Amino acid sequence: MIRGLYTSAMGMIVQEKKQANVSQNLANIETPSFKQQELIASASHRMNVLNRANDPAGRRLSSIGSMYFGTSIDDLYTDYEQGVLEETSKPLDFAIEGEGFFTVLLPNGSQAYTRDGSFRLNQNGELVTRDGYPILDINGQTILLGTDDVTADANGVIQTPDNRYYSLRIVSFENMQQLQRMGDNLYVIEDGAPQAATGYSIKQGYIEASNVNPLEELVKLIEITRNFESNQKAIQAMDETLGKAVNEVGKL
Amino acid sequence: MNRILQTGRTGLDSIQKKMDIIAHNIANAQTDGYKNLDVHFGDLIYDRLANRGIPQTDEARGKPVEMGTGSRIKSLTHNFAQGILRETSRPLDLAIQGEGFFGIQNESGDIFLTRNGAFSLDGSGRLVDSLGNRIVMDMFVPNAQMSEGDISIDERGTITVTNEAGQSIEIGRILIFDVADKSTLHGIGDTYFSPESQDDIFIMDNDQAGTIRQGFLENSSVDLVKELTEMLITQRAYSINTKSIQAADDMWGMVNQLRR
Repeated sequence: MIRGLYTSAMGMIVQEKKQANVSQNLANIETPSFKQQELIASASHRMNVLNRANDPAGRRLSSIGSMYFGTSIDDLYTDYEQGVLEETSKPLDFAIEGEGFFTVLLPNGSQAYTRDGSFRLNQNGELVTRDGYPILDINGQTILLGTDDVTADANGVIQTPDNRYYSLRIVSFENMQQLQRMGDNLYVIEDGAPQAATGYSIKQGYIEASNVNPLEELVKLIEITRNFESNQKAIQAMDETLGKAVNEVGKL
Repeated sequence: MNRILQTGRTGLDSIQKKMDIIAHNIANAQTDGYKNLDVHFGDLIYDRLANRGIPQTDEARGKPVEMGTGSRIKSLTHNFAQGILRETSRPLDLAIQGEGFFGIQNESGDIFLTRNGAFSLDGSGRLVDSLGNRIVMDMFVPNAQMSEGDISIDERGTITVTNEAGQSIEIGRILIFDVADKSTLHGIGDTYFSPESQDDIFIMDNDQAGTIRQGFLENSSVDLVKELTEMLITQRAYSINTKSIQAADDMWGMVNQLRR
């Protein structure tokens, strides 16, 4: 009885976290290059149930099977599906079609990765993100454009009017699920090295929209709310049963 | 539950701001020289799920499960795409076709940039904009007086005045300005744009600057169809975020109902 209460409470906590994740996806429905994520729960606390009855000698317990008591958060999965490309006609907006990330230099000297290619120039004329972090070229150097009057080809080679060429560093990862998010559309990786991406194409004057699917999220939202409700009802039912056990058993 | 409500609130906040910007763009669909504002969203920081009483499998404890905290508006930038030129036949209506801005100098000497070329002459015969601020130009004839009707301005901005005797005199040239990155310009109202610092402004070379068209004005760059479509999307995005707040509220209600 008491175990059942905790099993249902665990269910409610996990559902609440799943709901928080849905609400995060929905809040970022307009965030460029945002990738929707899903919280995956799995059954936990597997236990073997043994039959103590019908065993007069008490030596051997026969196994009935296994039962799960509760659910736990297992994984957070990011869906890296391509978002829709939206035209902006801005010369410093770039979108990646296919797999890959732009490489960004963080103030602490480490690298971050983003698919949000809405860039600008800083005071020195370097190509930077909206937050002012420099974009790196294929040699790991910052890109000193000095002008926004540039053209870029599908491979990410930017050409200035005075015929200087810069090649954007586009990388991909063996296991993209290892990327961690740090906000502002940036990703970092702790273990795992970036490798040069292949099979992408850069579109100038476009940005990639969020890949959050409102229909999917709303269905999840309904499912989670009802699941939460079922757990609540189970707790209430157990509470009532407990109440009966406490107050009515032994009454004459 | 509190987290869900806060996340939903950040979504509503940023989407509401986008709606404000769309309304601003639509309100300026007829403003000459107006450049529509684009909104750029970003996600907020992520929070690692700690072991704070949250059931997790051993695998999940081993790797970072990071939950987001919502979204925000990162930046607003003007989109400097060319607006359509409209013929007005007024000799002092100027439009730039291509790159560049007119420079407007205020009394303290600061230069602002504009694409709105609805100019006129002030009492002392100088070229001013509709608010009476001077247009920055290179004067060949110092203190030259101009009068409307005899002025012709060529593609490079050279002002030629024909006097009563029928003589044509080049008295000056309107300068075309630019900054290295137009997305750093911010609108300060009246279709003026201000750079981050006055040092950012430079005079454009003839071969890069756009051409000046006399008797034309540049329409607002607002694309009404695009704005209205964005408005529909934004409205729906707003309402779906109210749903996540509502769901969190319902769930909290259920928690409170656990013990009747």
